[in-house]
Amino acid sequence: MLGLGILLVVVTIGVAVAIGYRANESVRRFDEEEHESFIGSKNNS
Amino acid sequence: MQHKREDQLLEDKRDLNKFGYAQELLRDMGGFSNFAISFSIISILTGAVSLYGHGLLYGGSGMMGFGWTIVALFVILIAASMSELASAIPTAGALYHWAAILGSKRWGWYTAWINLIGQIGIVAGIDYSFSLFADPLLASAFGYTSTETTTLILFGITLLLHGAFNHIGIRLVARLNDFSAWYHIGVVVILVGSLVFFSRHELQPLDYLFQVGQTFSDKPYALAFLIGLLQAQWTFTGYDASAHTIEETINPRVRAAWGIFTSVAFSFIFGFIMLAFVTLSIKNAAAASEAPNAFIYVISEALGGTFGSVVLWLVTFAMWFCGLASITSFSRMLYAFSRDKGMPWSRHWAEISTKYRTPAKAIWLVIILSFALALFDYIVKRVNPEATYTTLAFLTAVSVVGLYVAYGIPLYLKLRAEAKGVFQRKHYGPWNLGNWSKTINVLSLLWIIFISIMMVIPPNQTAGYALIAMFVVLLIMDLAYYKNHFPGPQAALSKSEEEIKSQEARFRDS
Repeated sequence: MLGLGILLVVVTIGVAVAIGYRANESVRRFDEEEHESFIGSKNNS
Repeated sequence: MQHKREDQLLEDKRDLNKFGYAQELLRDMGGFSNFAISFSIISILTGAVSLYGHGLLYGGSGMMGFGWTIVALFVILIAASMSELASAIPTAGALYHWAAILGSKRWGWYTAWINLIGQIGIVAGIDYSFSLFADPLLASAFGYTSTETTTLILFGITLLLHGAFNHIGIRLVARLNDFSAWYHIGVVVILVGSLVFFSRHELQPLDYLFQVGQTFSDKPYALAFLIGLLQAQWTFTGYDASAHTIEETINPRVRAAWGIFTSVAFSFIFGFIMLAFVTLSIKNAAAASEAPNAFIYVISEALGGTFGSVVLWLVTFAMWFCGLASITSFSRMLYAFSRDKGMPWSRHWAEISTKYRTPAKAIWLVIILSFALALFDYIVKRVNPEATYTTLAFLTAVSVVGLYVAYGIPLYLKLRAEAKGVFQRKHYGPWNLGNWSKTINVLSLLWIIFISIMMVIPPNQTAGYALIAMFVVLLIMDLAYYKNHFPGPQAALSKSEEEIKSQEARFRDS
């Protein structure tokens, strides 16, 4: 079970790093001109 | 530099004004402070330590290796999903506000109340953990006998202290939260170093950490393992704090999103290191699982009484910091919901003290509600002394289910709004997951459903009954009044620029 346990820990760290990398790319590429605030609608009930 | 900061503050205020809200809270938090508040509430030294005995009893030593990591893997996905929403909709209402504008105001109303129930559970659970640890330590120092009653009294005093700090010292609380993050890391380093260099006996081999099949409970192992997940799952709660303090964070669309995500990721790493070394220091797992406090037992066995006591005091202080931060977060959520008139006597809870720039009345309501929950459980146990569950397991199960259901609702509504084409890529904030988003959201939702069921099966069924009872009360409140009278956050969109400006002017000189 030791091998499986270590693999699980490595996968978890890998997932966190991959998501962090992806999000960082999004932040760097973000273009305010293309963005629209999602504020909902007054009729949204 | 100062000029850049002023520009950013103005931009953040404008972003908030778009939702119809005035900048009432003091926007002073940087990225680290935003991370620190969630890291302090997750507090590996509170959740993982106070429920260490629970994890060991049900899942044996393998719970610390496998249980902690499996839960962390899914919580990282949930945190990423929430970060994305915080970046897109940066208001203090957070979960509630996301649900209201992605779904409807009634979705928002239920999300807020379920979040509120979870928040009561988390504040009560954290400060009760502190009292459980501190009361025996104080009892031996001052020569009294620690009982459930003295623990409850200490719990009440702790809540009062946290309330006072949060009411009058917003900057002090922020600095304490920053300190708390370093403190948590420092204590883990001291604890691990002490166990490595000063342990009285040799550490267990590494595979002990991933040993499965041994439970000290009367349940079959697979079921016992699932029940034991409460230890890790409760630890990984409260990171929505970074979103609740979003109106106090500079450049929140990026920093609060990172705050949510990194607080979970770093808690996994440091928590794993701590749990690994504590578990590898176990000499007799069966005896530890039977001890009133397994963590204290293992540390004292490994390091001896005096050194063990010092480490325990350090851990206990970490819990105190955790409680302080959780009240900050809860009060902001309550303030935001009351601002939209979702609570009885909302006007009071939405009031910001012009002197201290804090939601003072909301803070004291948090204190009362948290004490009431623990008092309810105390009375139930007096009436039924044969009850087999622990107060802590009750409080933590209530908070896990309440919080995770509240985390799940906006994720579901986001997927639904995307499927309908209402919420589109152009609405994403700067922190987003791109085309990974949907897969990560779906996996997050599946885990939330699974874990919510796991947390209320026996022996934690009392938490399930309490949650059902609370939901029935919500249903009655909704149908009797709020269905037709709750304006929702959409109502704020009708506010004129002048109204918002005059509201903000009240705080300009304070």
